[in-house]
Amino acid sequence: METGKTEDEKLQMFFDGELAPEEEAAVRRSLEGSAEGAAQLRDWEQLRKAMKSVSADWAGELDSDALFARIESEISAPVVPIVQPKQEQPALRVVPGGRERRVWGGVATGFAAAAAIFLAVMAWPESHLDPAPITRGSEVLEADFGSNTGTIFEVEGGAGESLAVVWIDDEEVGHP
Amino acid sequence: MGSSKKDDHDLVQRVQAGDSAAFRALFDKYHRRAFAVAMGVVKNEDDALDAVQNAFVKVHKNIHKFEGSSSFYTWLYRIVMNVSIDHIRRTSRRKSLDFDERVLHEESEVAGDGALMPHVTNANPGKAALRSELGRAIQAALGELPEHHRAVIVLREIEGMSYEEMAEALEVPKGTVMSRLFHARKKMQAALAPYLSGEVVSED
Amino acid sequence: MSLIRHLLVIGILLGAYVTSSASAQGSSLARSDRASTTASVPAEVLVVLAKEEPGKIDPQLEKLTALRRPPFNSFRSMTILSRPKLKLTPGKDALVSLPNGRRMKLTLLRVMPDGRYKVKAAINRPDKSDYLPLLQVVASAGDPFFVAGQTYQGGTLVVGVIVDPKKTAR
Repeated sequence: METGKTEDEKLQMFFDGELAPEEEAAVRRSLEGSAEGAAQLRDWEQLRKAMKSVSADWAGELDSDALFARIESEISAPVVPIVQPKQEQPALRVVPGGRERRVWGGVATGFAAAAAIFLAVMAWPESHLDPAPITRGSEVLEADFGSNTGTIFEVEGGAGESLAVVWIDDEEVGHP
Repeated sequence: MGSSKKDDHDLVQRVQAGDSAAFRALFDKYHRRAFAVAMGVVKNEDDALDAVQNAFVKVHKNIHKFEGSSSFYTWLYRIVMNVSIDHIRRTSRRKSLDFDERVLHEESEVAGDGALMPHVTNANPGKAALRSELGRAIQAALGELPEHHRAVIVLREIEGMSYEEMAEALEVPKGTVMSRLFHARKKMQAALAPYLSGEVVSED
Repeated sequence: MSLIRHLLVIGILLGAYVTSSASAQGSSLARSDRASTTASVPAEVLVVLAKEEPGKIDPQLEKLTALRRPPFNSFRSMTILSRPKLKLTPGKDALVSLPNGRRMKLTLLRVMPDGRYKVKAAINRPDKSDYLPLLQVVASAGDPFFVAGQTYQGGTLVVGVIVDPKKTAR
């Protein structure tokens, strides 16, 4: 990997202290006659100093205790996954009680069910003829990212529909 | 860094065993530097605080998975970078309707044609104001870099990571690190030329 | 007394018959969102390797304009690594291998009353919950949803799932 380095690469590695001692000495020698190389190093040095000086200011006002308190409170908060409430159909229940109540309950249920069937059958052809318009696109109902950080986006498709994109950080080194 | 790596290794083991004081020790050791790195990427203090908070929470949640094949330090910065870059992606999505996407991603606009000019005043402020102006200029220039170029120059110039450490943290080959760094420096120099050429003197 | 009892018995039997028919009807009419146990639906999974370095966008992806918009617009090259076709049967898991050793598990939960498909997805290494333990999506026929973010070979995997791809109303 170290063979065939360009002059720019060598100069950058020299600047960053990444060259082996012999290579470093060789670059130092070549810089003695190179105004351009020396100028480049000066520019990089200025940039480095500027970035270091402003970045020192960035962390200067940091309230470490407050930040750690936020971290601690998030660590100790219980994990609540987003869960869509299940929509279960209520099961038909046997009316509790004595035999007579059970009997009357059964008869009443039967007639009520018959009425329900009648209404459903009458209604079904209409709903069949006028189906609800299909919503285009895709959307997320529920997501559990485990211990990862994830983001849910909506991106527009070709026909203007909204498409779901789930973006999850992958921090682990791949272990096929 | 040898003894520091060993110290980190010991602290990590203690955290894995449930020692909360060890976790605080790791936080104390790295949070300021992590914040500076996050600031270089997300450019906004509140967002950088969120990024560091998220990163340390994730460290805590995943510390049992940390096997020690990389140093804790590069593992932490990988997390900080992922969280910060994820934030940029989310905000670029939100801003895309009223923000020219080319400004975020077209590299040719940055180098050479003067498209990027930081907020500059021609007043003659005091040193602190000058420094804050330079800070804004640097953040603006960083903001114009593609995120992966931003990552390498922040890790190199602010955090002082070696090429190998950056390659480990960013999970790319060393050659990619070098190439990105070279291009990032070129663009930053072009963007900050008025500040670095001696017209505006930065305080050291 | 016995006549009343006879009438009651007839009423009970009639009620039981009607109730049982009502249950049978109800399961196909009132619960029209429960998928038939026999109906399966075709699906397609697109496994794309996306990179920021300049390169080619696979021509087969050109119609997916979503992949040119944020958060995908920083990718300059996209290569289809695989494009497996599946049959999703309600309640049964379909597995798709990903190139990084993880597997995507897709399950068709049900067909919604509006014709959209409720699908469950997970992406993990076998016997682990290391990436996406659970995702539930509702999608219309031919319209994809995407899961992205896994790093692979210097790029990012973008996995798109399209249920009932041929039914797209375009």
